[in-house]
Amino acid sequence: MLPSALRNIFRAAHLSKWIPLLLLCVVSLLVVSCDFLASGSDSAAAPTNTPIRGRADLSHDATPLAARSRQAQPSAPTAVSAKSPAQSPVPSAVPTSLVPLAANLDMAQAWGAAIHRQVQHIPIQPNPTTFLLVQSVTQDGRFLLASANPSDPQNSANQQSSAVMVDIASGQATEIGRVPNPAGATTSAIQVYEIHSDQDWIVWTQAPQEPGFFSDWALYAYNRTDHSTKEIARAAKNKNGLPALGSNGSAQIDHGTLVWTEGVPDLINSQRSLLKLLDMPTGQVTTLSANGWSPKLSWPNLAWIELQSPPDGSPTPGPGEAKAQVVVLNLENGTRKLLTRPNKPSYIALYKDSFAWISNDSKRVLLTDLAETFERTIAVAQGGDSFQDPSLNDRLITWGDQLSKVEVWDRKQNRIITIGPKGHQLVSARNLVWVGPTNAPGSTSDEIKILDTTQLP
Amino acid sequence: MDKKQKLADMYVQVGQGDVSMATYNAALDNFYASDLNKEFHHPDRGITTDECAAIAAANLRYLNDGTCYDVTEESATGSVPTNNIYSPTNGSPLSVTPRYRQRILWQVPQMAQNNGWYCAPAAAAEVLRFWQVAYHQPASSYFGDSFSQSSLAAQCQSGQPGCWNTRGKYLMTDANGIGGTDWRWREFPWNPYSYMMEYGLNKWRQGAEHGDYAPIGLPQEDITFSRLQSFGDKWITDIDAAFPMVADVAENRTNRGVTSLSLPKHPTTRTIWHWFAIRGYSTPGWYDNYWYVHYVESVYGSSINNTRGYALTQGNNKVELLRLHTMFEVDGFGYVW
Repeated sequence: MLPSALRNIFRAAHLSKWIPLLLLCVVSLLVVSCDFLASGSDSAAAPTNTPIRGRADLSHDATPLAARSRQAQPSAPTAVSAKSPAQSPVPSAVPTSLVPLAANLDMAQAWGAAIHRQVQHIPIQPNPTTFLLVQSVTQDGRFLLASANPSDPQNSANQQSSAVMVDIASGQATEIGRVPNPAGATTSAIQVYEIHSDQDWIVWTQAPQEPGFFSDWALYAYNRTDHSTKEIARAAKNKNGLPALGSNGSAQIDHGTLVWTEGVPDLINSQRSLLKLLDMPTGQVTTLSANGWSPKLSWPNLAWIELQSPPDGSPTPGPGEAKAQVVVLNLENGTRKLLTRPNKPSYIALYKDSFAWISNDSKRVLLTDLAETFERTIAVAQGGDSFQDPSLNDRLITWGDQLSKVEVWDRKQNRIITIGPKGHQLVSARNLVWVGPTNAPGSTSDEIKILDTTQLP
Repeated sequence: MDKKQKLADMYVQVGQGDVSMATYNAALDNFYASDLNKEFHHPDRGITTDECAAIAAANLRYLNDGTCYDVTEESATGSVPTNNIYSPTNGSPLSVTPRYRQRILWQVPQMAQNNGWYCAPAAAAEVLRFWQVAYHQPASSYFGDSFSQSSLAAQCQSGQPGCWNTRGKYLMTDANGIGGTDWRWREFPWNPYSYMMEYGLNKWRQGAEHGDYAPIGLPQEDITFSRLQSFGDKWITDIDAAFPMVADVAENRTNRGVTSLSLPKHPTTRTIWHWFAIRGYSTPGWYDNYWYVHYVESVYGSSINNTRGYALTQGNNKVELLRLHTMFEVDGFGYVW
């Protein structure tokens, strides 16, 4: 007997004729998965089949226009995908669990009806000529760190982008840095991006889209105590005067340790980036990698992706053959290790001892710990979807998708929670932040939504 | 461009059964009278071996009706359907009825953009290569310029044929230094709103600013269903008529309260302005219950991929219809069809 909610989903999607097939799939998944689940350190939840998730999304879509862009009656079922993880488990001695078999819930189902009252709302446009693009949240959960940008640069050419702190409680924005030139038009506009913080510092990078797609960057640090700002680094230049490719200068900071990447100048038909570390109190700079990118810092651990050189005497790897692995450096004791599971991850995220990544094909979100005692696939992209930009904390993991919906993995409930439509979601130490439609009747506007994840039941 | 809109309107009527495909094909023949291989525009023509050969051999598969497809983009059913003919169902946001469940103009090639600001020259080159291959048009331009992204982007030398001004004859990208290609160019006193992709593609192919390609600049107003529908109808009409499009988008912006998201595997922490060629569609049921716009991504293989928020891999690119449409409207950009 199917639960009534699932029956409604089947009915809404006219999938009743596929029920036997879906049930067969559920059984197959359970059979194949049980060995993995039994040996994994994470417990399995109640069974369902991931394709149901795609159908359930129809009923959760709160955007009328979005709903109208879809077919109410798919001409073919999406179930029993050839891409089902049950058919391609990764052989490993490490306990490996597959996609969770718990049905998705919405926020109220997962955390109670009162959860919606805990969501805080910040206007995404504090005024008609400016919009906020949230980059991160301070570690204490009090401030959004965002870039403030002209909403119509072609008609507001004198407006400048800036870095702002937005008090989550009051919505008050405080500017902490501003780019030197007016926004101008499109690709020549200098933008502020990748704003991150620790107790004492807020760092950000700024660059125009061109030249070289944010290659002409400069990295700044704002002292939260004395409110001074200083330039930390800027892109190296080639002999031809153009900035070196290989980095957009994105940085992260924790415990007074700042990490970023710099492109190497004057390389011919190639690019690579140096991974650098600055100890803010002493000013000492250390180069950690000659070919690393995407550094993620969660004290005391620093993780990055590094292109692995083949052993001496090995043939030069062809296109796509080079191995890129995740390096983890403990900044307290200096130990360095390679994670064995992620190979050429497209995106990575680190929080305390937890490590999440998006697979190379952008179809899976995976989770492990830094000791790699387990590996767990927590989401598989269905149909034409793909994933990017994971982030996590003790309670939640989130990631971006292509179908403009916000979902999180609840590490306590071991299931995916559907938050709602839209995107730009991120999880910080204490908060889930996303952009979604306002609740005002008839409104088509978006807003920034914030949920304190430490208060989740 | 009224003539082309009439074609789109007529194709809607074909789907409704009010106009026969033969009548529509005759209208296409009339519109594309100068094309050497104009029958290639007919939606009901069979797929050619040359088209199938454009799919990587390792990925080439066939449906039971002989339609070729890329196995990495196969239907989410996981089984081979008997044919690729679209079955009209209720709830479509479009007026037009696609002929196929999935249609991709595989002969629109992926080309890496030569540098960080050449996405528009790369997109135009991808489209023009298709015209060369599918319609046997010469590689060189109407004015004799050799085929390259640089030619499409270049400024004019004084006295060159086709130089109606000193800034450039096609996309005028280089006139902006490293700033990329404008959606609209405001400096022509006789035409303050020239659309650069229209200008470039038509002058390259037909020697005149206005021709087969026409711009649709979307107003910076509230996003409406009618404009989404209008794009969808033009998109399906063009792809079924083997006519690739070009789009200009603004990612990760908010205007009038509406936020645009990003193209797949593009950075999400900053605004990106980007041009790309549209070459296909997938209808609900192919992958899932969404409409997908298939495009080619010039960032892949270029110097700007990886290490700075991009994580593009080789393969077919696609974006959900509404997601893309929001990127047009948030900054008043649009598409050339």
